[in-house]
Amino acid sequence: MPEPVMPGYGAIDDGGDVDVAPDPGAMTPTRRLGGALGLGFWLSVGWLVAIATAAVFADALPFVGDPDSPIRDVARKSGPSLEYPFGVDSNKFDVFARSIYGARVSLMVGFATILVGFVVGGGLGLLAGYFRGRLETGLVAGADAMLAFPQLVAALAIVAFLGASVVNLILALSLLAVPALFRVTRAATLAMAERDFVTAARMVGATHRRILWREILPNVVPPMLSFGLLAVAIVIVGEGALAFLGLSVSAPTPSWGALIERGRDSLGDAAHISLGPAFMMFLTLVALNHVGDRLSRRFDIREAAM
Amino acid sequence: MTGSAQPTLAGVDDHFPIGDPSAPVVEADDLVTWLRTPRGPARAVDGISLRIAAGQTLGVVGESGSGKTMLSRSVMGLLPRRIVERLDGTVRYRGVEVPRHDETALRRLWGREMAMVFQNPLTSLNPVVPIGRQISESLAHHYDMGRDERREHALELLRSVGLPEAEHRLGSFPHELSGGMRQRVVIAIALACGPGLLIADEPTTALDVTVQRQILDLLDQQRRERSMAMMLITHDLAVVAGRADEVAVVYAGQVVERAPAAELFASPRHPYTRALLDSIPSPVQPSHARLDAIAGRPPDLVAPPDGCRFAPRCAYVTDACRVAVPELVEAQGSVAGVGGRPTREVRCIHPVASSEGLS
Repeated sequence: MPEPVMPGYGAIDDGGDVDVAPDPGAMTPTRRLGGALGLGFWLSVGWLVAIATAAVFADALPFVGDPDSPIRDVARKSGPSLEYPFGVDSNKFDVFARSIYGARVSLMVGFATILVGFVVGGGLGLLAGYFRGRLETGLVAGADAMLAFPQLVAALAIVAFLGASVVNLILALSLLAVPALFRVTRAATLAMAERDFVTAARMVGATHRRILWREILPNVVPPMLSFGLLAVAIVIVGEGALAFLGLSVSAPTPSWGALIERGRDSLGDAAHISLGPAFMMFLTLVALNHVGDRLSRRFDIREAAM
Repeated sequence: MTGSAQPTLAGVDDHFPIGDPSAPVVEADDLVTWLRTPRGPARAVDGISLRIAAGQTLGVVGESGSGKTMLSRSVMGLLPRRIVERLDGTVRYRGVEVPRHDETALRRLWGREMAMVFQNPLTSLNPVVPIGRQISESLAHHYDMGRDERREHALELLRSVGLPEAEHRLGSFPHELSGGMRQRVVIAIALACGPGLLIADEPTTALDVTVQRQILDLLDQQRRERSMAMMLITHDLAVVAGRADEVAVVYAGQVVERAPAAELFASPRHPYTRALLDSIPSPVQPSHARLDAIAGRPPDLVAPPDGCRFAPRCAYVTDACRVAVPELVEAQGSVAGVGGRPTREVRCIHPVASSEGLS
């Protein structure tokens, strides 16, 4: 019987390499980043950077007034003007200045909470998705239980019990972030841990710690990050809700939620007192959502191309 | 293809084969790996013995689900512990028993002594790590090498596996390479520490036909130059033809026939081997000739048929086949091989007769 020969085999010259690959560098992701993500993405990033910078350096910025002393030469609740873009409130405080300072608490709470979620939820998700077994079963059950509980109520109870400070606020809102990030990370880790490159890494003698850190983590960070940005928005809203109920950081430290609440009594005659900070919060949330959305879509595309 | 010279293992001077260099590189005795399933244990590997000497290639041929991959994992000791129901048998690497239950000890063998090339180069490379770093990873694990030294070594490896413009590729990501090039990178990773045993598990299945031969030639060339033992796992007899020294045909977790490659192709003894060979379309067949496919499906590994496991699909089946369990015995045409081991074995009570009757 003749030796079986695969059709087409004989024709290939061993000396030549018929592999064709694109010129290295032609496809580096950074080069098409700008165009692919679109103008809206960069506008959103611009807004986030601007609001964060303004919040951090509010004391030094010339156009941000003093938020804590009443302005003498204007009427109470007077509407927006060139000098005071968001008007003044019933105590003659500059609403714009207070909104900028309010970004401090709101953004800080938002990002710090997600950071806690990343470290705790993400870390546990990574372990659960990689090691599986009883650890995973237990953690998943715990996360499900936490998600099943009405979280705003839980956060409310914690803040009411421990007292309203920034740290307690972050702690309470972490109840929201930790289980959510745990689930996202675990799902991404599960998908990655099944891939051959993890086996391949074990095959060259890598330890579990090294595999988790060097092989899996870089692959799960993109989905975590895009989800994290969306989650920041949710947490900011959560903080706003607590503040509106008077359970956020106590006055005089303003946060967006507290500022909106301040204008509640005057909604009929001076809506600008609430609308100013609400507008800033709105833009920030839209920007966060858009950036997170864009990023996740972008990572999905890359995933599909692999 | 460039780089025909063996790369100098710069900084790998401390590498010496463990165990006895005259012993077979790998010798597995009566391997048993049963996997836990809801319906009961699946006998993925059910009493397989094999032996590969340095510089030799053993072709392991079988259809999907016959236990080929589990066999390779069993040899390596790379098993999903959670679902292994039963694990038996011994594996010796150069005469030294492989500690199949001790992952810390195994880790010292993996990569350095035994390495693996996976089926799908798309999933066996980390998408977010540059390939240069993926190659030097194992060097970092096993040797005390500086960063520059590792880079240099990775470059030599890339050249030796015939990757064009190797210098520019070190920083490339897997998605920037074609399938064939990725598989070359996977091979470079496997070869990085100069292993004594290379297991290639369907190394060409995911590749374009035109690239398949190049990759097989590359594996062959590397095996020769490094006098590695190679286990070439495939479902495609054509892949094994002309490349393997010995072929083991696996069916339902067992070896049904083992023979030197040329003899296996010339005169198969087991009806399954013969059926496999008959099912290869031949260029001399008239066009539109009916392809001799093997009827039926591979047996259920949880509840394999009584008697011979191939009996339900066998063209020569007799009543005795459905009752008697055939053992793997010396086959017709076998001679005493190394250490008195027969060169040919078959698991059939009515082996296909001598080559005269065949085309």
